[in-house]
Amino acid sequence: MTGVETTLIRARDLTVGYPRAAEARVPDLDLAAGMVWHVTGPNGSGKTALLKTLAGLLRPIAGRLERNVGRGPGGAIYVHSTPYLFSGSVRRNLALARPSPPQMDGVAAILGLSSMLDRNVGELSHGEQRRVALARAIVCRPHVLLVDEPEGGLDAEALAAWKTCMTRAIEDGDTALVVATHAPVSFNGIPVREIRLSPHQR
Amino acid sequence: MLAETGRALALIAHRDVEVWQIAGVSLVVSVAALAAALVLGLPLTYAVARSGSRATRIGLWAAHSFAALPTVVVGLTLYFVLSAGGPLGWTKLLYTRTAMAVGQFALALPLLVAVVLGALHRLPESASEALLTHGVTPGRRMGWLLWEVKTAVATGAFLAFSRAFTELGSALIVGGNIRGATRTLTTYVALEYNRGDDARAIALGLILLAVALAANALMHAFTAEQ
Repeated sequence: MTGVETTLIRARDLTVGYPRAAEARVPDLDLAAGMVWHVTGPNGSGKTALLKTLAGLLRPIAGRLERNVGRGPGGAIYVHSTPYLFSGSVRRNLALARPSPPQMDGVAAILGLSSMLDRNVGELSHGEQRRVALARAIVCRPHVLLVDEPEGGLDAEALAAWKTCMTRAIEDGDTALVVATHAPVSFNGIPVREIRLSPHQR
Repeated sequence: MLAETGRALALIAHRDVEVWQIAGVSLVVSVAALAAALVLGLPLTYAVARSGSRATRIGLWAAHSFAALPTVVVGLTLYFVLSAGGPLGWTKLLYTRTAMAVGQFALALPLLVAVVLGALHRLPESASEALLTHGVTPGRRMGWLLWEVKTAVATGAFLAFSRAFTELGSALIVGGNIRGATRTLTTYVALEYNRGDDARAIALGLILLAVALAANALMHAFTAEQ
């Protein structure tokens, strides 16, 4: 990525949603590295649909969406509010996109997963599973990280570790972060832009 | 009956050449049918599962329907296809082990597809989305998702093998029960029973049962470990 101003994803007159279901109009937005976006709105207002659309997992219902990043490592990665972990160990999950071992160990250390790399994911608590899902995405060094309800199940320590990790990536101009949550969002003073989805726009 | 069973066990214990040769043919034909069902059936099942709920529903309906096909119907159909005047008569495969394996493949495939397709359909959407969003290539995506339903793959493979190994109708019609070539445990049991050689029929029946139980034990050991 060349700089903070590079637009990674541009949306104009975008409408998102699921086939044969309700839709949500999205305010125009230009996502660039170094930014934090906070998607807000009541339940069912299309927050998850927007994140999945930006991640390239859902087709836009209408409007224009320019994605200058692909999916996966170095691209856009979406983390579910209830993530799916694949059977087997934490290590197997972190290796999903084949990161280098030092990269994997580094992220695992930051998120407090080093001691549980060889544990079966089925034995982990909900919060630990969420940490694994976040680590699995971060280890891919995405340029756009889209996280659905990041604070769900995380204890204060894990949340702080995640924020530290993300703050560094955002400040380095490597990553744009998009979070959908009802909780306040702050990352060490980095300006947070809001995308408000309203049920009236559906 | 007891005396016959004793004689049957003696035949097995003394490694009656013909008994073991027939068991070998049965095993080779059925393992080939299972291997073909796995190699072709798993990618096919994955492709159907990926094509959406409607395709999956149709796929499940088709698999369940074909799973209920009588073995003699499969045998007769294959017979007409492979007989001299049939569309594939030129292959000269009728009365060969290959023809038997093809028949057993047709009987085994629907069971494997039905079990694995159902399991793939029950996986949450977030599983395939997690693979997509992490940029996993299509080939690896199939591997990851099939590994997620590995107990269903093991169960489907066991059911498919059992169906192939224990069927009689198709093997008899397209194999012809030719001594030393296409004679299998089931076709021989039927023949020996008709001839009145109860001891040999029981011996072959016992081997059939042992192999089926061994396959079952193998499947349970695998699924229990998961």
